Amino acid sequence: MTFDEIYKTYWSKVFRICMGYVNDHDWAKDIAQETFVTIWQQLPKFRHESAVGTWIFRIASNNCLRQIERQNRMPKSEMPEQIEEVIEHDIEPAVKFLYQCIAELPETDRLIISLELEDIKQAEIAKIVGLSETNTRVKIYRIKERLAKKFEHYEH
Amino acid sequence: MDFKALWNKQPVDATPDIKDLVAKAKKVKRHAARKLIIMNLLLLGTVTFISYVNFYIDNEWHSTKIGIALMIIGMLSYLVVYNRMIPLLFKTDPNDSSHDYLNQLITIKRKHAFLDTVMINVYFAFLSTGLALYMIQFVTRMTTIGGTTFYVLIGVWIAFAWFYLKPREARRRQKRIGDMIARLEVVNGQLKEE
Repeated sequence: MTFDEIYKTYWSKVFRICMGYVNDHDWAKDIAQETFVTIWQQLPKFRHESAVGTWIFRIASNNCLRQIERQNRMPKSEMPEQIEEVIEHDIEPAVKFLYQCIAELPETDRLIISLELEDIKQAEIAKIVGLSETNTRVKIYRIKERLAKKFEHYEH
Repeated sequence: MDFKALWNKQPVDATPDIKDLVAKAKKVKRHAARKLIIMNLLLLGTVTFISYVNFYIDNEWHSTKIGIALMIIGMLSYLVVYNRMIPLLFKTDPNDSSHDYLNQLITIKRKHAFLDTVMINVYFAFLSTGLALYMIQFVTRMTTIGGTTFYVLIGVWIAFAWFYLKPREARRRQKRIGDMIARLEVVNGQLKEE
């Protein structure tokens, strides 16, 4: 796969994972770009030891975690309401609510559920975050349960 | 509730132009390298200058030679530890899992903290002692009052830097790095097997 093909195939997936982590359009775009910068740099060294998808999502996840270093920026869910994003994207309220709920989870849970919603196999998710498969399965189950509960309140 | 369907409805901006991305990649790399190069040039330049001066000025006193050696040792030892961080900063292994990656970040921050505390003290101690010894030969050629004033002024400046400037800067940086290490450890703790 050439870089062009990777870029076209994975841009939206990587963007959504970053969005799940920070819930801020511009910030997510920045992280997604940084991810592709790393991919561009590392692609010649990629040795196909893992599937290219797993490799890409691993870089994306680690780039998300790197945001901890940027303490001056906080996830949107933690910001006061008056400084909500100025450019409002036309997003369905339920979609917005889902991303908001995800952004409120602990950091690694945000990554795990984002990867799961991106249809990545649980065994791969386990490898990406560095947990056992059983643990990953349990975690995904619990996160989904938590999200379902939040949605129950949201709908009523 | 079909979370996957909702998840995929998130609008995604058009993919940015690939050329912009590559330009950005090069810029990021340059920026990271610049700081390292400046630090190395600055310290190595000073070391070269001091050695050059030492070679051409007639130093019959041992204190002068020892002073120069101490200053050079101080600068070089700081530089050695500083440069040992380079591979860490540039080695982002995409095959690392999040757990390993977080551990790596924590190691880098700890090394930073070490550089900011222990190494800066070593550097400063060597530099001040070196300077004080170096000056003896030249001060003996001055009058008593001149020499004393000179040493007092240098002493005041070193004390100011050592007791005021350095602790102030160190506190600020240590708090920042300490907070970050704590934060990284909390996140890494989320990945403990249950």
